[in-house]
Amino acid sequence: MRLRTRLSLAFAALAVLPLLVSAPFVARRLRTTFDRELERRAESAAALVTASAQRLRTRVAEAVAAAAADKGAEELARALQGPGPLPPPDAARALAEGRGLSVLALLDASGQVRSSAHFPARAGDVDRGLLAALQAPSGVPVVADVQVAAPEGPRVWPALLSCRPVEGVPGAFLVGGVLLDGALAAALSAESGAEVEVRRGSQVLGSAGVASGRQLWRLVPLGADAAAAVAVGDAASAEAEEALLLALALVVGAGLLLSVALGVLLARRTTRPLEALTAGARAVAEGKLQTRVEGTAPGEVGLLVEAFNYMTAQLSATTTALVKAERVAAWEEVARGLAHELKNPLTPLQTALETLGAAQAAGSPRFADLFREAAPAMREEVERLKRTVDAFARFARLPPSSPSPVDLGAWAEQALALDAASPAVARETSLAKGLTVRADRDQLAQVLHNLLRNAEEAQAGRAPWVAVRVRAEGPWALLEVEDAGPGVREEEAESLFAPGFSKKPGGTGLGLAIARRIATEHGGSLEVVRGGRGGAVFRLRLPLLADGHGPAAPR
Amino acid sequence: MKPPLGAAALLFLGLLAGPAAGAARARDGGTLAVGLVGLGPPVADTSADSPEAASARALLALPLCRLRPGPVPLLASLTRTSAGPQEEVHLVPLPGARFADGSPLRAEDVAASLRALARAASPYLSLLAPVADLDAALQAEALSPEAGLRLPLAYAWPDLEASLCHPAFTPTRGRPGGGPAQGVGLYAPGAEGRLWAARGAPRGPPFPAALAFSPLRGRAAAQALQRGEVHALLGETTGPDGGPLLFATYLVYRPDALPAGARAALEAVDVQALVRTFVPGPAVALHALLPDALLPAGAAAPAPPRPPAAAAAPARPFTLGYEVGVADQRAVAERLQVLLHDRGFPVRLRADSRAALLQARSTGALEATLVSLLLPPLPAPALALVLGLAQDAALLQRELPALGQEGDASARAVRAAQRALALAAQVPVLPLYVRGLRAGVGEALVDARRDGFGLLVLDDAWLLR
Repeated sequence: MRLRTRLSLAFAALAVLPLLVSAPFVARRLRTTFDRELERRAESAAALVTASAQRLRTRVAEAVAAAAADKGAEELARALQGPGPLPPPDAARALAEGRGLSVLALLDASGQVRSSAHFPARAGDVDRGLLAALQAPSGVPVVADVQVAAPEGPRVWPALLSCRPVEGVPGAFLVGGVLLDGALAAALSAESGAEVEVRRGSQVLGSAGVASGRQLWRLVPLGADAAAAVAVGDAASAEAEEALLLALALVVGAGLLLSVALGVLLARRTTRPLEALTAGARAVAEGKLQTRVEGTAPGEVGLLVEAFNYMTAQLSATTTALVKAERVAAWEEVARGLAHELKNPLTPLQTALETLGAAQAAGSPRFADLFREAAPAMREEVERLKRTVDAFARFARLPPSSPSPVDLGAWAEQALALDAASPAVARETSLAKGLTVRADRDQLAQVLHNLLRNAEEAQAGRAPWVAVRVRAEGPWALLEVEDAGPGVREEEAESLFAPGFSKKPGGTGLGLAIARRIATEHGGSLEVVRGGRGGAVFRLRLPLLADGHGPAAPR
Repeated sequence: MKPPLGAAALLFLGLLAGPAAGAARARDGGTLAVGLVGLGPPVADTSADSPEAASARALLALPLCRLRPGPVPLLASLTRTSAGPQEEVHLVPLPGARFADGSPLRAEDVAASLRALARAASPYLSLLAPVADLDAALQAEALSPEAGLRLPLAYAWPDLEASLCHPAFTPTRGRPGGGPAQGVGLYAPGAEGRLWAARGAPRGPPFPAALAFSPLRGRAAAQALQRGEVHALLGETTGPDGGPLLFATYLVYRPDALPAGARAALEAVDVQALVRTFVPGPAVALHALLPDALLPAGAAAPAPPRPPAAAAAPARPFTLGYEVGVADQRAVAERLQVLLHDRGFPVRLRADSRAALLQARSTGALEATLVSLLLPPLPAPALALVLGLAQDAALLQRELPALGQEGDASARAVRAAQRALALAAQVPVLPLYVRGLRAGVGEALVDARRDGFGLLVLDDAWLLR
């Protein structure tokens, strides 16, 4: 992972970690706060329901008292006690209307129902619940089970009841109240804003309202074993909590993005000198020894930049000196080689000339014979001198190349066909097509020619065998020429390519040097390795063109 | 021995006519204001499930004849002929009888009305049980302009003409373009929501030119009558009620469908207390299949209530049907549900239309049903009607010929009473109560009478001004 990436991630982590660490704490704190709020709301709702229940008791007592004081109640009671036709059994309905009483019955002193608004079919019977209310202190509401009508028949239902004697009619009593049912739950829910269940023991008699989310219940006694269970939900607070946590998450996310952006900027600023140093080092490695890293950087990186620039300056100076020294050494080498090459023909020339001179001076009659005998040899030596000088001249001044795309395999096939090899040479070829390189065909031909001649000459005295192969290896196209000669020792492999090195009598020692130079000027290389038959394999390595004719060449 | 029903009716008519003595009738009509207490406006096509509704309906749709106390033709002449041993009653519409749209009443209209009753499985068809092959008699081919509708008797049945006066046989006809059915009435619906005097009644238009109805309640209704704001009241009244109590309610059940002991529990119900508390007056408990008015005096003395019978084991529930919108049936059904519940018999209630209940009862979908009937004021037809509730044709075939054999009306009444008492325990019909018409007539309304069924009749009524 690159330093810049690591730095960016480190900056982001540094920015986000505190938020991530604090998030659970914030969430827990929020939960605690909302829990307290929920409890407060539950207590408040319970208090409202308690107050509502108390008001309900008062209202029931007042409503029954008002109904008992109604003229209609007196008339109904008298009609029921009189000898005439009885009023309908539901005549008490008129008294219940508008008073919010879901239970109302007119009773005689024995507790017998004479008229009933809520259950007319019970007229003529004793309802123990109504009787309990009749026997309770007048005007004091009690909770008792009364009978009510249901599709499947009578059923018992708890009700909050109050009893009052009908005014002006002795022995007649009105018992009225409200059923502890869904309607009451709805009223209590409306007043408290909470979900309310009217319960008797574990039985739910009615419910209203909805407390969404996690519920918190409070129980408000209504009398006997009846109670109103009040529930508040945390849906709203949960929603608020969710919104806050979402906001927190958004802050964390934004912080993360910001920190990543800042981290990238800071990392870039920090790593830019290092990248420049890296590029500089790579340039130095490529031979650009005068490379300098521009710009300033604080601290140690700045010192590193200065050190680098100092190093390249020193390296450049040292290299210049070395090059000069090498050049001098090379010239010495060339001069030594040239001297050696020149000295060899000059000595016979000198000897021949001294012999001819002595013969002429002595007026020897064999002068003409001697001259005739020496002249070809002297011409031979002069020719040799000329060749030597030409070879050195060629090495020193190769013609400018004109490269063009070349299908190396196809080209090698044509070149081999034109190459005039000795019939005794056994050639094997394996030429892959479609491997395009950019090369000067003439110089390439010279390389191949040199390698072939070199291979043949390395097998003097044997049955010559030469294999020519063209193949791809990664981004390179390889042209290999293998022979079955004695091979090359590892320690003398590089010296083969030194100018003037030759193991052949009469060789200039420049063929392989020229071939390597051409390879280098084409962006490639020429090396020698040991072949499969013990001979040498000269491997020309040229970069493939990235135009679909093979792998892209390295930049 | 009770005085004959007809004499009582005459006495009542006389009482009603009293205030009109010395006053002169005015043919210019006037508007008769009628207060409706707990009733809707009258319509011609209704089963008239209460005396009040039947009275209101009779304004728009007259019956074929009136019982005063014998049958007096109103829309059709009734002639009995003998063809050998078999007798026939010929029903021929009177020439002046016209429907509200002016079209004449035909024998086909009467037959169509009877056929409609047959399709609806009306219990009132039991009144025509003595007719031999009623279906054939009602076919259009059997009708003729001269003889009208010919009803051949399978056996002697002297009360057929009186039975045909029953309001259930009132002919009505649907309007060609739809809408409410129409009858041959004293009045017909018109402008301003009123009923206007019709010219289709055979005896000519009534004296009041129009009838105006107003819904009233409770004491306000009585006060309106007292102050003369309305001339008559139909429905709850605080005034004295009169007339025969013939609107009887029975509990009809399927013997094989009731849980064991349920009948005993039902018979143990204190019907007198039930009626007193839950049935608006005038009403009395039925102690037998026929009301006291149709039985010899003391023939059916109220028996002391039986001890309540409780279910020996948890009983399966059964359904008791009652007519929706009939207040007394609903109150009684709910009370019976409570009483049976207390004795361990769970009861479901089903409120439905009379037609739906009849259908459910005939298909066996209902275990028990409350059925209200307007009984004819004659014991033999009344018994035929009640026995018909058992839906046992063999029972009618067994009982009615013997009754018809009694040529004398009194002897026939005695025999009918005897059979009513004897058959009470054998038929799945529990008598509950019988009601009369709740109506009030103000001093300004003269000659408003009750017919033999106890229904209010305005045929000759007129207004004092």
